Amino acid sequence: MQMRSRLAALSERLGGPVLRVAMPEPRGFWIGISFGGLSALCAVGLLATSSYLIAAASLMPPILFLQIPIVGVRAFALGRAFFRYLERISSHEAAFRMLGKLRTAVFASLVPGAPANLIGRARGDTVSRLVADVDELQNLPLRVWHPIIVSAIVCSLSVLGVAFVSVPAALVLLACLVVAAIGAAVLPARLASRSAAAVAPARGRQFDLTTQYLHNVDVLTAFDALESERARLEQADKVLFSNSTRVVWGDGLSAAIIVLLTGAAVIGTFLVSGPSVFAGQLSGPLMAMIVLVPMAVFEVFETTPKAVLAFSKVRSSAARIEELAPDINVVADQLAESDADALFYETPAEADAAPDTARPEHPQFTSLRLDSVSFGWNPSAPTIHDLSLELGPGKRILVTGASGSGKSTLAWGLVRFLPLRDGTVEINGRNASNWSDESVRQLIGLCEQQPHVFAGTIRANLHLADPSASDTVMTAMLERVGLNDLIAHRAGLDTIVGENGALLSGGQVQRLALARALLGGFPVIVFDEPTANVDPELRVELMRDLLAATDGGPDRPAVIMMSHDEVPAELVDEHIRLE
Amino acid sequence: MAFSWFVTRGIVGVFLGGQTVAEVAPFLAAAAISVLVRAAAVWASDVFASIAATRTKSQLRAKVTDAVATLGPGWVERRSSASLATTATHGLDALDSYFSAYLPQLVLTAIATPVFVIIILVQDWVSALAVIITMPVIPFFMVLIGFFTQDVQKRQWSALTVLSGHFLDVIQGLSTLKIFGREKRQITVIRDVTTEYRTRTMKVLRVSFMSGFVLELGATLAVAIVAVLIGTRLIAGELDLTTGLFVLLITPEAFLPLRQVGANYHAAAEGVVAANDVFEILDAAAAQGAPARAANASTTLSHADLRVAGLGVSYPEADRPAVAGVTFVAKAGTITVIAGPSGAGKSTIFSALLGFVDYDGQITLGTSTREGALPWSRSFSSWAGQRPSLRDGTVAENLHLGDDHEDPEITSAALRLAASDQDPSTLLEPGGEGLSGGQAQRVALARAYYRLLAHDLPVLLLDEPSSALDSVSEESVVRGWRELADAGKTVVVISHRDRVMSAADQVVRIENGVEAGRADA
Repeated sequence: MQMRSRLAALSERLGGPVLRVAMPEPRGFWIGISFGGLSALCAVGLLATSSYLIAAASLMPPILFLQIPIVGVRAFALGRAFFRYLERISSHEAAFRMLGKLRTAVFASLVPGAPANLIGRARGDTVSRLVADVDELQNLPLRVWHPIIVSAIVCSLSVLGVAFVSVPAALVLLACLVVAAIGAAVLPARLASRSAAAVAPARGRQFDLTTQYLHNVDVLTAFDALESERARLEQADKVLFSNSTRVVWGDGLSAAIIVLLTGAAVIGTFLVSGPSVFAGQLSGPLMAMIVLVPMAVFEVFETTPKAVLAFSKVRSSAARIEELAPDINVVADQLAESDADALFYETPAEADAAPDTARPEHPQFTSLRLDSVSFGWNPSAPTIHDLSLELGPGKRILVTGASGSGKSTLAWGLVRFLPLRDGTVEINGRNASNWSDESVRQLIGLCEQQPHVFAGTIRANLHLADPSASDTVMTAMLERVGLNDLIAHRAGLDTIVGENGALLSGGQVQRLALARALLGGFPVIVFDEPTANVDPELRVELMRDLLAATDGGPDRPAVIMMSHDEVPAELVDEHIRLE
Repeated sequence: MAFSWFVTRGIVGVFLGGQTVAEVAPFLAAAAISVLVRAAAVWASDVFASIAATRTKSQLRAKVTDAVATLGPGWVERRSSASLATTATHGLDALDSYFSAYLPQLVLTAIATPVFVIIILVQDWVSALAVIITMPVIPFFMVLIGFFTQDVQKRQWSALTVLSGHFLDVIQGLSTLKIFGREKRQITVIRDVTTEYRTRTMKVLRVSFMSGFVLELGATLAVAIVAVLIGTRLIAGELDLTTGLFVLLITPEAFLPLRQVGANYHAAAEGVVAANDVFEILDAAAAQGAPARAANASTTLSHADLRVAGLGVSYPEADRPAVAGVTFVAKAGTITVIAGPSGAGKSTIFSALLGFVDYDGQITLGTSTREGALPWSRSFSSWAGQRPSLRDGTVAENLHLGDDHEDPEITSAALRLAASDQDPSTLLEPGGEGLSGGQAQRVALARAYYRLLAHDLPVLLLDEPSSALDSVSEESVVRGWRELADAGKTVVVISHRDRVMSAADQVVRIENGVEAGRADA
């Protein structure tokens, strides 16, 4: 435990708090290290005993004297392969356990700020890059600490072992290892990390331009711009090529330095031990052994420079995760100390009262009043400024405005995805400023502009809103939102929707999202541009259907509809224009 | 190998021959030289293999972009451009380890292994026999293990891809989870899913580690057998130490390339898949032949009627033509709107006019007529498609796409006509990121206007140009068309929006690829 926390602390110092979380449990980690160390020691032992065996054998002693080295050779040979197998199994098991905890911690620390923390920072691929970065962190134990520690153990034990036979030879080996550590691990890593830092953006630009070119082939063809665009691609390719070539020179250098120092160690030990053999202080077979051991030791040491390079990759992934989830280590500690419930629910009773299978309860809704409110990303220049509106049960308000006028900002503000900058929000006649975000969201539901449907079945997506809903209820709901086709022609509730709803059309996704919101039973539903991603000619029809579907009689939900399309006036009670 | 030989001679000299270190110095010097040579060779082979891999990738990528240009937008349209982009970027990276690790290793194995075996054979035929007998055992066991585990592996991998997608799915859906108050429960779910992921991954890894284990065990045991054989024969005096030690040192080297090939096998499999994708594209381009080149934007006419007669387009994979017998005249100075439900073939008419697809029929500009000549009308028309397809750089750079120099006056005129208030110096990210859908659409419109005005072309083709616009912006955009039409341009717009249709001088209705009605304003 002590060792692990020290390693974790060291990782944190080198690469930020994320790396502390990315260290596996000490037990599994050290079991892996032990097996790795044993396997590497067996490799060194194998070469040592076999060279001793042969050298001794040439003196033609009785076979009896050679029994021990012969057994040793066999044992080391078997041990090396066997321990290597155990090492890989146990270290991967430990790394995957860590990965599970890390994912949970990343998710848990993203939750409070979501979705605002995931959007608007960088480009659209933030989320998928985050996921790839989390996966990259399994290399911290596997490809960074593990090889470094194993090679440190093996190198020091080998130096000690050689010292038993010949102290000068041990010193030579030690010196060569130190020089190799500096020359092969530190130096090229410094060179490479500088060029590698240039490679990543060059590669990114090259990828971006290629992707852009392939997406824009039609426009480039129509505007006679294929040639000039290809010239730009070639230029980006040249930049990438010259940068990555520089990295390669550094990488190759470290491999060459290791070969060089292996030779130096062998010749060096030879030079210092040779005279003692001549003087009769050292037996020939032992000399053969210590002269050849460096070859096996350096084979183990070889992994260290690669570990240093792997660390620079791990560190940049960690930095990106930290940007999105800055308090990850606090969350991870809370998760480690207790179970997930305690992190979010004040009391165990509250946790029990948040059932997994029951329909969510919604408080009574009587009124929602916004009084000159401001919402926005930027506190000093909120997108929504000084807006007032009032909504009673079952009422429908249409909010229109040009793109960029803040419709989505208002939608997010209403469900507390963005903080209230100014003004007051009153729910049921009382100031809602001290309501929890969760209790506001029990009253106000949101159908997003690009609703997320989870890969899996329609049933699973609907159960998200109401785990207690029966098939009959769900089928009736699908009919109500106009998904009759899906029920009739596809597999009904068992229809697979695909990743991000890839197997449904844009309109079907919107209808499914509506069915989900209705099933959730929210007294107020906010629609954010439900027709934005739908074929233009289907928009009016979809808009009519959405509003008709929410019209479920006397306790129909109140609706706030954000749209840039006109909506037939008879379908709404009030119309607000955002400027 | 030379290093091993000289070191061996040195050791033997010192300890059997009773020589001093000075006497074996030539051997040591030779060993040192061979070390230097080997270091240089390792470095050179690393560097050159990587450079070759990078260069090959560059060449392949350039070939893919060339091939896509040859195949044209019509070909790209019918497949996922996302997967195309993946093939040309990340897909090609899979070739890295194929070219820099697997291929050199394979060649090395083919050359080095026999050389090592022959040297051992020359030195000591008994050890060589042991190596020759044990060596084929390794590939044999690998094939055997592969044979028994292939099915398990495949099933496990497909389950894995489903599971690894889960984490991405829940993070993308985090806002949805919060709306339904499910985000906290999801933490437990993630924990369960990752546990399952771990169990499954470990099952897969156990199998692949097992084959690694067999490889390693085979190699190690072979070395051990050789060592013991040498040792016992040394005792019997059948072998001298020089040979014994040397053979012992090079036996592991003989096995090393074979082990490395096994270790790099996975990289090779990925590389082959990527290469197949690339060659599929290159072959398709080769089959199509040289692209029909468009004339640059140039025509002596700045105002002319566009006549389309009997236009038909058939895709090989469809059972009926996408459009057939479409005939209309778009008069200079008027706005023609092509309307109809989605999938009716409206955009296909433009694809034919732009030469993106093969077509039958006649296209006439003013008095000159061409039949089926592919990209002719591209030289006299300017076009804006359904997707904005903007690029990185400033708004102004996007506008004068295809022209080397910008005319700021035309830039501001084009932006004004497109009702866009973008600053021409606004910088866009690749793919035009940084603008909202409506803003991007207006910049794309302005780009079409720029070309139209800069080259004084007679025809403007617009495909759903106002789909992402609010009603106020749409109104201003429609006013811009009228202004262009009044200046004598022939404006053809695909749209079904009421506001657009009411501005039309002529509406051509297309349904199921054929004309379904016509209305003149």
